Amino acid sequence: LHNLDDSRTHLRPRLHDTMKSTLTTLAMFALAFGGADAGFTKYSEMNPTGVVTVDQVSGACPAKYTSGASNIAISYTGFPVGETVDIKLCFTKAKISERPWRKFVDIVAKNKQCWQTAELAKFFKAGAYVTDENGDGTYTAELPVNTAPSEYTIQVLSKDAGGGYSQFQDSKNNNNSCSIKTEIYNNLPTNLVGVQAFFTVFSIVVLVAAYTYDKAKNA
Amino acid sequence: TRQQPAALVRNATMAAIVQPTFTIPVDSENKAKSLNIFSFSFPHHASFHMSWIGFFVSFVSTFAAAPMVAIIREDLELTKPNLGDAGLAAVTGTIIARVIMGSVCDVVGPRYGLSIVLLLSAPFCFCMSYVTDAAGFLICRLGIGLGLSTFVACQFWMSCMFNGKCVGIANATAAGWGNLGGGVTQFLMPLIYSGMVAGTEGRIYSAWRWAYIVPGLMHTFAGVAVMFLGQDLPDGNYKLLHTSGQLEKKDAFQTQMLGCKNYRMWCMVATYGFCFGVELTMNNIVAGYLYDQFELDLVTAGTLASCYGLMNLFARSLGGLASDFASVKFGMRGRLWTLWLCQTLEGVLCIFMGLARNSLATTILFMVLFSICVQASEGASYGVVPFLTRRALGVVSGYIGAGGNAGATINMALWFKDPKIETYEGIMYMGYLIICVTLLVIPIHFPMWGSMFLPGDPTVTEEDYYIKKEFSEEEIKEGLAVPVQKFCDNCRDERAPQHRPAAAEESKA
Repeated sequence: LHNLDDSRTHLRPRLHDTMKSTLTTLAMFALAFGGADAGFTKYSEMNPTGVVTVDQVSGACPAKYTSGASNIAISYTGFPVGETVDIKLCFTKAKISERPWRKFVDIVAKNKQCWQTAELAKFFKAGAYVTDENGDGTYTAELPVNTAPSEYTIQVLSKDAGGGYSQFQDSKNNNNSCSIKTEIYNNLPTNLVGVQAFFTVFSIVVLVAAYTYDKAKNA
Repeated sequence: TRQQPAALVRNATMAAIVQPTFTIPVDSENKAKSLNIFSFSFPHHASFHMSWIGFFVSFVSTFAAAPMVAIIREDLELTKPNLGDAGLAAVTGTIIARVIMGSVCDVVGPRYGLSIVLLLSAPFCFCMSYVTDAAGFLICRLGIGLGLSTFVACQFWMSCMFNGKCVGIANATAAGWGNLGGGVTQFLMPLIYSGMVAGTEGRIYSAWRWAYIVPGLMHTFAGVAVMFLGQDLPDGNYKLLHTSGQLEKKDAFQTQMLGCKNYRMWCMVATYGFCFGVELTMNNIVAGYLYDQFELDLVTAGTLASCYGLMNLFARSLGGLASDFASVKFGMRGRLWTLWLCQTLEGVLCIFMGLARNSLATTILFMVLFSICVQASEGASYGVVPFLTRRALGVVSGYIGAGGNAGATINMALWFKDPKIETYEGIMYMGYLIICVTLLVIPIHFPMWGSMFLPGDPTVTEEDYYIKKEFSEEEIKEGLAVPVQKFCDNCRDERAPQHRPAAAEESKA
């Protein structure tokens, strides 16, 4: 384009525009049919592929995980090599029943079934691991201290270079995976119990004393 | 001879009583002729401030859970029906309490009624910290919600302290500032909660429990303040006035029957259920709605939600003022039209708020306008209530106040408990129902003053309505109706302008 003869100057802008639009159109087609680099945003666009496992601890599945104290060990296989995975902690179906704030939404980024809303957290861990050459990965992390007491599964989503999702799988589809039932820390410490008990009694004493005094004053 | 000792006691007591003197203009019943919100004069304005403060505190505690519901529902593993039931309990338990409070006010006075309810509901605030399941949560919200019966004492108290010229604005301002608690709590509790989170090293499921210490202490101190800084009536406390014979000792059952036989009361019960009841419903659901619908954080959702209740700062007074102004121009008919217009507009704006579900800014705009109309309707309602009856005013105030809570119960149960109905849909349906129920203002008719579409009969007097209908001949002869006669003299301005005493004298001249 830049080497066109000056005698064809009057044709240069029109040719330039035509080339530009053609290249743009080709690029759009490449993106549309490229597939692998586009990424998915919805669960319905992907098939759950691979295997996700919540691993045993010391040879057995924990009866309960304590928030702020227990670790969750996760392993997965059959995922795209070299891609980064996000890990979500998702409520089980029983625990989203009659709770619209935990409802399933097909758009991955808006799926409230996998959000912790008390202390907002949309991921258990974003960018947890880069899948190795075997398509495997592992991740271990402590259960966050303010995770609500409930029942969960682990969902692993693989992200391509463009940031879109290419694959996902949930531990609920693996019969060999441990289930996750959580309990919270002691949210009724002794000092809380003591202080509130004191004020409960205090308010009753104040009621009796104030009424008695006022009755006597107005007698 | 048998009566002599009692008469001696009464006469001795009367002689011992120093006739009260007041620093503000009062009428023949010693009721204040105007309201000055910056005054603390005893007893009128001191009682005004004690009544709204007591009511304010009960609102803060009743709706303290609402802005923290996102935390509480996770800690206690609550479902939407659980939350709906607890919200229902908070506003339903007080239905009976308000009816009882009406009789309590008639029999022992509003000062005891208000202070004792505050002190009785304080332990429930402290015990909220121990709750571990849905049942405990419901019980505590039920107990705390009993504090909403302070509303009846508040309104009754203002009707005793302020005369017809300003009773609308006095009732409206006291109740409005009390209702303000429902808005203040939406941003106050998240702030207290945030402080407690810092104090518990980030443990949110302990922090919300600690936060409940604040409403509990507010109840305790406010209860004591009301008891010692207020006075039942301009002339003294109930006990003294009963002993001196200046105040009729009312029979609770008799006043209940008198109130219940008045059909106007039942119309107002229904209409008040769809202004005040709507406010209670919104206080229960709006913070959670904004949090879930627009994915806001707790403090932001609470702050925006508080805009609803904060309109009480002026909007309820606006309704009372509008009612009093309309009364000057058109008498009682003006008050009724004001009520109908405010409340119908409320229903329309409620529908628009539901329709605006996809835009936060539009939702907030309609929410604020909707809230202003809700509270103006409440103010306008209590511009009418003091005139429904005199002898059973406490009972009537109680039933109508209870109707407010019944309305909240109905709306919560119909629209905000079923998981299949989206919250924005519930808000819209509630708007349609508001418009329908408000039509019940139309049949409210005073024989001497008229109704929305019918004029009053100038040959019927206020004495016919308030004395002959509510007192027997023997009671009239005993002089029990004397205080009511003063009221009749003071409320003749509720007639249409051409039938007022001043107009009659002018036409004679």
